[in-house]
Amino acid sequence: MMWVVWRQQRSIVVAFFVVAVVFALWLIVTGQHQQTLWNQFLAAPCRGGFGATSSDSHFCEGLQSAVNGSSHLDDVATIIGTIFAPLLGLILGVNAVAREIEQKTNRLAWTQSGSRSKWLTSKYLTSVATIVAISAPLCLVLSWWVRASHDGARITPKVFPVSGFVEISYGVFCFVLAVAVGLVVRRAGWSLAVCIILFGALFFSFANQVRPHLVTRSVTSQQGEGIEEGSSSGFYSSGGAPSNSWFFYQGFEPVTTIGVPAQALLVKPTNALYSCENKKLQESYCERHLHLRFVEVYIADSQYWKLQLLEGGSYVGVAALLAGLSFVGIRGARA
Amino acid sequence: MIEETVVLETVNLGKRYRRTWGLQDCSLTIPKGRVAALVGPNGAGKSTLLRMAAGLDRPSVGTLRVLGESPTSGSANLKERVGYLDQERPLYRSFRVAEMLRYGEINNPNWNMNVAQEHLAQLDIPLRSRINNLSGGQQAQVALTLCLAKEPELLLLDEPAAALDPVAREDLLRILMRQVADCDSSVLLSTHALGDVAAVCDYVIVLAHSRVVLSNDTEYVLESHRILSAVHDGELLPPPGVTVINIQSSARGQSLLVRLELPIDEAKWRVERPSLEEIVLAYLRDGSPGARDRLRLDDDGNTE
Repeated sequence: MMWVVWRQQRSIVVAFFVVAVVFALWLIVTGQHQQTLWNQFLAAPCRGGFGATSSDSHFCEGLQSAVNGSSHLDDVATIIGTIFAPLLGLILGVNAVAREIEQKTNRLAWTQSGSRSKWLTSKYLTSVATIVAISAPLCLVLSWWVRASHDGARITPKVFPVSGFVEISYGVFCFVLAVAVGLVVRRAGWSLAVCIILFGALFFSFANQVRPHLVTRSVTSQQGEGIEEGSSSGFYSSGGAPSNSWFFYQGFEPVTTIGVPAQALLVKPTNALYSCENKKLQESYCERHLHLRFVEVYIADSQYWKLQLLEGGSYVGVAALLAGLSFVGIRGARA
Repeated sequence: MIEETVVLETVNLGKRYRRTWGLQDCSLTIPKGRVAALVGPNGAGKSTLLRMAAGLDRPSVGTLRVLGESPTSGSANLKERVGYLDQERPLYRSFRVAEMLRYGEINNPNWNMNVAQEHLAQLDIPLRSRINNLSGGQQAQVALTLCLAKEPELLLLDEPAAALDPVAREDLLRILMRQVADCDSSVLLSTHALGDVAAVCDYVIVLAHSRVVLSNDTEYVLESHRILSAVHDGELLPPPGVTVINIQSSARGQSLLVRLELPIDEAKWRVERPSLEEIVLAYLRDGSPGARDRLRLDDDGNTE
């Protein structure tokens, strides 16, 4: 049965494989170029980076301009990297069930000696193996590229989906989603459209509403500007949070506050401090006078793999649930 | 307990699609070794019955047994013993013919590759051709070959000869008959071609308005039906002991197609043997539920 599934999806897999190879080569070339630029920019004489003692020479300005000028390429790479595995999963999933039902080849398959469950199992095994085989090497290249291109800390929302292994879980989830939707919608085009909407909504909801709460947020109350000169990342906090953190919000809180403050609780003390400063008083005086301190809320880079595991596990868990429902649904599905 | 000599039995079988019935009150028995024709107008429920027998659809009401098992059980054993050809002749369009045969081989333990290759060779269908590049008739032959090479005990064929040219149709029927002879298979095929029914089928089932209106051996059906024409003008009342299936009017008078239960006094009537096609058409023309019983007369000539 595996051969049959492979034969059915061969052209799709070859097309995605070619795209993956071309994309990976492009990432390697642009990543190396970016890495070279950054290494030059961060080293003497420019010593670039936030708050660093950067030189104003034409050479350094040119380097900075080159580093900043490649951001649109970074955006393109991030978008392609984010949608690659989900799109592969969706197309394989739609092809696996909805297209078979649409072309009525499921009637041929379901009247052969094997059971419908066996038929579906072969689809799952072959397709998931295909998604992993194509996406995993690309994930390694993307993870390297995220570090090399300094396109932001790997834990931040922009590049979190394209670094680590969470991308593979998106691909697997999308495949299972497309299979489940295909059993209900029974039309390939409509199934694909519904799945894109569903996955898009889930992806953005998860990134904005769920991911920030998957691990404990940290807070730093270090006063003044914690500057790490010549750090190896282009993403920094302006306060005391460690570099490469996923920064959420900052403000002033009473010095007696314990734990991680909610963003709303920082509004009143911060406004009070600004009122104080408006009276031509120094910030340090105002802080002492009002018994306030500057705080930053963030998730540290050390939580990165835990986040990857939790998010990837969540997608795979929901995929397992959907797969179970599909196995139940296919038994009574109309041919 | 179903006897082993019955390949398909339904009792009050029905299939409901939302508000409409695709098949209703279907009770029939098909003995082993028969080539049974399922005849009826479009929407009569032929494909519905075949799909349920193949295990693709679940009955809404009633019972259905195929080779002694319920097709909805999904039994692998039953699927090995039943070959199903769908009306749409679904094949993987991007596959080559040889790949479709490999597909059949992988999915069926009883697959006979020699039979498959011989059939296709006789029909000059190259194994390297892509399904997409074959004509409709050739695709139908490949689809039929997939069924036949399983060497099933029961073949369920949904309009196998539809849209075929006369030569392809004859080839298909010839191959079908050889399969029945070689493998002792039973066949249930739906068709609109009444000529095919008379040529190859020894059992006939007529469906009209989602119900079975006739189901019996072809030979019995032919023997039990007659066309009666009045010898004298004005003689319109049918003789007792017959069930009028259909009344035909023409310039020369009226003729009745009737089902016999008693001998007819041939002096009063001109009696002709109808063809199977005439009988089936009569049932289809007047096949609404109970219609054929409206003109049933008792021995005294009274309408029942």
